[in-house]
Amino acid sequence: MKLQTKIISVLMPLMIVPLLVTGWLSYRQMARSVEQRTVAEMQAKLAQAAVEVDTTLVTARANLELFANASLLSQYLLTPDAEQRYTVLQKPLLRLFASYQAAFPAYSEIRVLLPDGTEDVRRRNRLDEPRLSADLDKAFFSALSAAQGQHAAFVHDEVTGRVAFLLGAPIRLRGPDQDPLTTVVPLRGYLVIGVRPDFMAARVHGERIGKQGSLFVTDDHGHVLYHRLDGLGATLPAIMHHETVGHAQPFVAPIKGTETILLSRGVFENVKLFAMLPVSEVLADGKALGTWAALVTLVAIAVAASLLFLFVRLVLVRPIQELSRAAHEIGEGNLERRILIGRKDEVGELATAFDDMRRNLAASNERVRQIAYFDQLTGVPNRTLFHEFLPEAIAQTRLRNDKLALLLLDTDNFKRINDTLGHDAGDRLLREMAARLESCLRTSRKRPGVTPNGEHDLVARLGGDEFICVLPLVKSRTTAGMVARRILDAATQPLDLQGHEVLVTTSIGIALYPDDGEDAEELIKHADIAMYEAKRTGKNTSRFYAPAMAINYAERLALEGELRRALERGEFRLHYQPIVDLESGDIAGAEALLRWQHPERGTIAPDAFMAVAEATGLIRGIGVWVLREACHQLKAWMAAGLDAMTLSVNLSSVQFQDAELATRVAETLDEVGLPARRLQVELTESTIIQSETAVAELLNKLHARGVRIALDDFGTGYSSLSYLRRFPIDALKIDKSFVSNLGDASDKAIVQAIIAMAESLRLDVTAEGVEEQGQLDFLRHSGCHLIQGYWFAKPSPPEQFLSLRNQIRERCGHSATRMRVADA
Amino acid sequence: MFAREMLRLLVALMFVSITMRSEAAADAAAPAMARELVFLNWSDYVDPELIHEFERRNGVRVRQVYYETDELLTDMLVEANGIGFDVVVASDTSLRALSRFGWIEPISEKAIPNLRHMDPRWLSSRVENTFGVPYLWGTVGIAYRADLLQRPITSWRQLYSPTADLHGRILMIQDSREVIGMALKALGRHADSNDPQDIADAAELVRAQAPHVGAWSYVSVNEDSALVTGEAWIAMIYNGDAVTLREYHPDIRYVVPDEGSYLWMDNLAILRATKNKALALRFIDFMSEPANAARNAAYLHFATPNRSAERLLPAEFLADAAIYPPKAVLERSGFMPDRPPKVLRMINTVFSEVTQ
Repeated sequence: MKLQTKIISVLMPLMIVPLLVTGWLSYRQMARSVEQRTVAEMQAKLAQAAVEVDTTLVTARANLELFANASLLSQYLLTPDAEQRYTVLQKPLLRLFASYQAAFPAYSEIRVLLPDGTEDVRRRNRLDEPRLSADLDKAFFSALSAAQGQHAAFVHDEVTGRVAFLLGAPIRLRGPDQDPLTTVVPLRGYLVIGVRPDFMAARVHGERIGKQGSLFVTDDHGHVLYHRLDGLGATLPAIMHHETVGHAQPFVAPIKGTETILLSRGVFENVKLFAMLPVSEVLADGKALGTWAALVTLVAIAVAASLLFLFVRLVLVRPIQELSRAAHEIGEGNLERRILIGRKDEVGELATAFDDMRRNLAASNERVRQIAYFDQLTGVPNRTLFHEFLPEAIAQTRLRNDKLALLLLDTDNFKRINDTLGHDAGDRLLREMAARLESCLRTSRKRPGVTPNGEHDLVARLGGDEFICVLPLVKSRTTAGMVARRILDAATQPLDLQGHEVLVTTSIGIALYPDDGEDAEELIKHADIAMYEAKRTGKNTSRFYAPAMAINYAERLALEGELRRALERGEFRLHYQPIVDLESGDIAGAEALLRWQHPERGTIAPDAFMAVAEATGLIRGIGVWVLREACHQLKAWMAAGLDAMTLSVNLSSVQFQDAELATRVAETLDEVGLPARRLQVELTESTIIQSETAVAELLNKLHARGVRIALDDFGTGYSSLSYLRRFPIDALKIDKSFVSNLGDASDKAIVQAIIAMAESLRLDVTAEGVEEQGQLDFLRHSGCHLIQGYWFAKPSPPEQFLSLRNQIRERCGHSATRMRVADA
Repeated sequence: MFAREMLRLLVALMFVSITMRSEAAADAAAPAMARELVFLNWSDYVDPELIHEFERRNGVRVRQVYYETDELLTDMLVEANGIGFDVVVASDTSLRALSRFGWIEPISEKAIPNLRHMDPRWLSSRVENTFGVPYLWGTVGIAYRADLLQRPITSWRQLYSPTADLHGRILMIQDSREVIGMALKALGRHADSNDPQDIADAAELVRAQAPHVGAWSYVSVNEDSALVTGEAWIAMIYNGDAVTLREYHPDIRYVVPDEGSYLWMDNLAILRATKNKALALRFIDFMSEPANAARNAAYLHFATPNRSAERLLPAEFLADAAIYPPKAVLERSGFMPDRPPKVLRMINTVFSEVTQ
């Protein structure tokens, strides 16, 4: 059941029942009051008529007394001479009576009776006023003469039809010759006034009770004197027997065959006044009243019901429906739907609360989305958004039959910057990186928070210093390459971090859809491989994915785990390749070379795991182990007689990110008890480039401690002769690629130039990778005395190292012979 | 008309010359005892010049109190118990009734020297009493507007059973004896009948006439009279007044119907309660002087009972049939009778009811 139906079905009876009860009660009350009013009306009219009769009679009695004492009447009655009476006095007397009658028209007859009852004077004011029958006249006279004073009677002469109140008074007058004290005052006659009860007729005819009710007057025999009801009949003896007649109590009796309410009242001893009203009329009034009350009640119910329906609809149901619809829409995710009810009651408050909730929900939704989809540090989309976005972008690209490029970036030297300059600097660097990336791409960051679609580029931070770019509208491999180049250029712009000028290099791996993968996962994996490839192959560069890389990647993953175990299990070994001084023909030093004695795969060269060690940071642990192992070995050899020998240890660029490197080296030397001069550290030019300042600082510390510094692989990288002056370099090592290529004239020239330069700078020069006699001869001839390479010995385990000495001497001799031969 | 005015002037001049002498003598003889004489009279029933002359001659004032009809005179006296008046004009019928109450002072023949001028015919009726001195006499008849009525009036029936056009235009004298008497004549009965049936029939006739009567009131005798203005077309009237009214409207006719009429004679009498008896006697004597009586009759157009005065009146006056009824009329007419009390009571009762 609906709310509206419920409310109305509860409220309607609550409203209707009292209305019905009220209607019924008021009908009952009104019906009762109609009856009471009817009776009251009848009583009032009877009372008025009775009062009128009383008043008339009282007045008539007073007037009778007054008239009886008129001097003319006295004179008339005292005049014995009939001729005098009738010639002179009677006429003025009649005129006097006429004047009374002019004042009281109801006094239709004024008579003077002689003591014997003979009528002497009679004045009628109406010519048609009938005389009273002799019997009634006589009866009245006998009653009057018997009375001691005034006498009044109501007469109804059925013969003549005369109806009147008769009032008589005796007139006693003392004659002029009579003694006032002793004589009885003789009776001279009577004055009689006949009062026509016209007022009763007028009242009966003028009064109306209800519609059909009326008054009527009867004498005590039930003779109807006055009435206004046709055919009432001359007599109504039946009702006269009713007990309550004259008791002012209503009773019901048949009149003209109709049940009639009757009320009577005696107005004179033998006059009764009746009020009548047909019972049917009272009932009809009640019925009309009932109909009216029912109608009013029904109308009231109808109006109230309509109002209630409207009220419930407008005030309750409609706002709730609106709220319900709004809630539904919000539930479906439309948080933009505003709820406006504009009311000040509870429903309005509910709507307002609802709207607040909606707004808060929308705001927190946005916030959640921000947190969920965007990187809080840089503000660019995060890994989650990227993972949602990429499949979509791929799908769209597939539909367009287009290409999509995925560029995975890793900052080459972020870790070192973070370590040396602190996290704030690192954070700034990441933010800067993000900004630069975005500036290079067509991203949709103008509307923050809006989910990127497939038509815009996307930059996302995957974590750490790893960013990824999605270029959905790439037309070709070349375009992707150009973007990568642009990113590299932008990334290498110097950045000022807390006063330090930092040069950031990045490695970019590129994978293309559909060329390098069909789905997101595959593309990401391949971009990752390509990125590592880029890192492995020199950093600050970009690489497209090639299927061959996939293998290395797998190996690397395996290596990473195995390297950790290797360090713990002591699977690393140091092999030493001697550096031969051609001039002494003896071993001048050795380069410690790391070897991994893999339990299953045998000996593994550093090239195969160094990148992984650096990338994972294992290089540090390895580096420490190498240094200590080398120092101990050298100590042993020195004790064995190789007391002038120098040992070279390679330091990777990652190791230079450790600010404690110099301290660590010094501690190791002290621990072993080795003169610092016997230790030489080798580093590459690219290590210097990554962080010139930090590297210079470390090198200076090491050099100050007495450790020799050698620049490895010299001539291959960003060779800058300025390094040789700015850094405390003690030695150069000519890269083996030059040595192996000495057939080439330009390479010979380069080698000769390097040797010359080193000589002028008083730097030692070591040639690496010497494998042939010719190479040796050229180098000796060019002035390079320190030779390292297979010609003399390949790197060997330390137990074999001392045995190499004879072999080397032999070779030196041989070579010296050849030299001499050549010289000769 | 001119001739009539000339006659009136001539008579007046004659009277002046005659009275000059006697006036002076009377002034010397009588001291100024009373200053006011109250004269109870009909209205317009004395020549005012005569009153002035009497006032001048005696140095008194005469105040007239008027009554409307002879019957109403008795009412006034009954109410006043005969007190407050000096001289009264009353018909011989009324005078008899009033004297019964003792309200009238007898007048001896010696007290009125001019009584000798009276026609013995009138004095004969005085033999019964010595209460009054004849003043004027006449008939009661009908005055009507000849121009408005279809037919001339010849019978009392035309008055008592009026045609429809007369409804409300009838004036009747409020005097029961005359109205009933003439009703008897109209019915063809004897006017003096005391037969109860005759009286009852007459009363019934009057009762039937009553609704058509415009007023139970004596017609006024001046130029504004209802008969002159035409408000009334027909009226019961005393002859002299009709003659006077005739002068205001030429179409007013006076007729004594064929059935005859009542003759009446008015007397001057002195009320017993008067305190100016001498002056009253002198006034009556003054009015009875032939010259004065002649002036008065000529002025009022009523016949005078004064024989000497008649001789002073012009022949034209004496020949006027309206003033002096012809012998045939006199034969059909008689004086009002004194009726028995029972009849009177009956008439009184009926008349009272009819004329209310």
